[in-house]
Amino acid sequence: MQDEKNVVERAKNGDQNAFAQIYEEYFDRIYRYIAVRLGDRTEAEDLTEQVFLNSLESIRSFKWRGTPFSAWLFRIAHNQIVDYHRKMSKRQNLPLDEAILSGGVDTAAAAELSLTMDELKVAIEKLTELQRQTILLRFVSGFSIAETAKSLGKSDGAVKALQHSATAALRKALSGGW
Amino acid sequence: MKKIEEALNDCIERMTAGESLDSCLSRYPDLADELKPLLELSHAVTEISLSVKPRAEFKVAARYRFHDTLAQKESKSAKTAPAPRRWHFKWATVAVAMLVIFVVGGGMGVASANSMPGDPLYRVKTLTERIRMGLTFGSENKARLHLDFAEERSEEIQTLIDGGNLEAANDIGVEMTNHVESARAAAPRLLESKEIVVRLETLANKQVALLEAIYDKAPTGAQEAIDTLIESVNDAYETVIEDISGSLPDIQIMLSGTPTLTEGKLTGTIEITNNSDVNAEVADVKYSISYPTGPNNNLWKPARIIMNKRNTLGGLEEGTGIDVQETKTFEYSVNFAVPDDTSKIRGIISITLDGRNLRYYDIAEFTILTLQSVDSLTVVP
Repeated sequence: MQDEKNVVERAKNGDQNAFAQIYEEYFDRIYRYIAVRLGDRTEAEDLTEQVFLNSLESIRSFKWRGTPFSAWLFRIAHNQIVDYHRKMSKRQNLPLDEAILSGGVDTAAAAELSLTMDELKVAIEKLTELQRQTILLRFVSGFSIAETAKSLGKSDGAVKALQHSATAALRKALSGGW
Repeated sequence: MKKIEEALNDCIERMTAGESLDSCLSRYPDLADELKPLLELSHAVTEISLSVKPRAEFKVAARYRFHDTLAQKESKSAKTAPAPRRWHFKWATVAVAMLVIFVVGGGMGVASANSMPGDPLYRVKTLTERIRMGLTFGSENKARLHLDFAEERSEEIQTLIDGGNLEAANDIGVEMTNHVESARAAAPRLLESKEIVVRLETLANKQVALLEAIYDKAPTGAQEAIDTLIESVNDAYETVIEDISGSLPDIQIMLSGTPTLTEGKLTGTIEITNNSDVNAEVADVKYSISYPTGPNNNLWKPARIIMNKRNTLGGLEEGTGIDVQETKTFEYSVNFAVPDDTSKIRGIISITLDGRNLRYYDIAEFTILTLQSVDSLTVVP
């Protein structure tokens, strides 16, 4: 986003257009970040909406502390996922394949997607939290090394090392062709 | 830092920029065997992730809800602002600012030229916008950016009016109109999308608020002129709507009548009417059912469509033809699951036509009396 700081400051001051710009810029990326973790399209849609409603409520409290705005937004998404897992652990969930096929008619594409997504989701869960965040931020959400480093509170070099170990661990976690 | 870690990152960056795997590996021949599977995997994860996209109908609905929330938030914060008058037109009154300022400016006199457009920084701002436009590709993206800039001009007009600089506001009004016209020229079909209509309506509401503010300050003669102006702007916008509608296939799709619900099976009727002067062919059909959820029941969650039961749209499918002035009726039957305490559902049906990108859709909301046992639904007005 061009001149992100300016846009965020305007949004903090209640500028609707600025917040709408943030929404358009990040909506798909936040959705991907959540959908890959949950493997459930409809839940990911709910949570994505909630992320933006929460950020709208709390953007005035956002402060520049050397981390990019995107890190703050993805932290809200991360917290939503944690809350979701906490709630779901208390009740029985639908099987993954059934859940991801819900709500649409594009069954062929969804079935193809669910197979691959299922593998990826299961494998990502086997990583350490830092490895998982590195994969999600770098490859799923398209963060640069510098953005990932600032989001995780690590140096660029540490993130490159994490990127290597996470990719190797993911390969090990995936059975078959990888 | 280990060489493999640097090499892996370098190759990831290069492949993201479009370089091939083989080309990257040739840069690190001694590490190629180790790098190859890692790069293939990271690339696959990126590709898989990019294929994960929210459904188009959800995105449209979510954007609507988000803008609605934004608007509610703004109306709460505008405690001192006068209640906006609701004009009957729904389109952006893009010409209002310019014309009103012209009329009122004549009646009230023009203030000094100490304004934002005269500020050296303003040139930098407009130059930056031109660069952004130059770096934006695709007609729809350009159209959206033009609307961004129109909205920006609208904010500037407000500031200039507040400062009494009506002449400068008039100039900015011309620029704002030009941006909307450019958006229309770049992507005329985009202007019919609900997202854009919402943005234009927001722009229109701002102009109406502006009009209100000026109206109160204006002398009697100018107030009468404003009233006359509103009428002429209404007419102008109706003409714009007709112009745009006339250039698009005039297709109506409707979830008509009152559907029935029996043990999770929704049955009802879809009507499609072709009011165009050309025959149309359906290229794609999508449907979904959703129900309210969330703390305030204000989020719509797609219901689970039960695919292993027999669902039908009564022959509405790719290739279905709707001839000129024809109305076709399709009986649909869809099995779905929602929580037992659901009291309301929403059905969405959408189609695209062969050779066109525009998606036509209809949303109907139904109150459920009893989910499983009563076979009637009440349509929410």
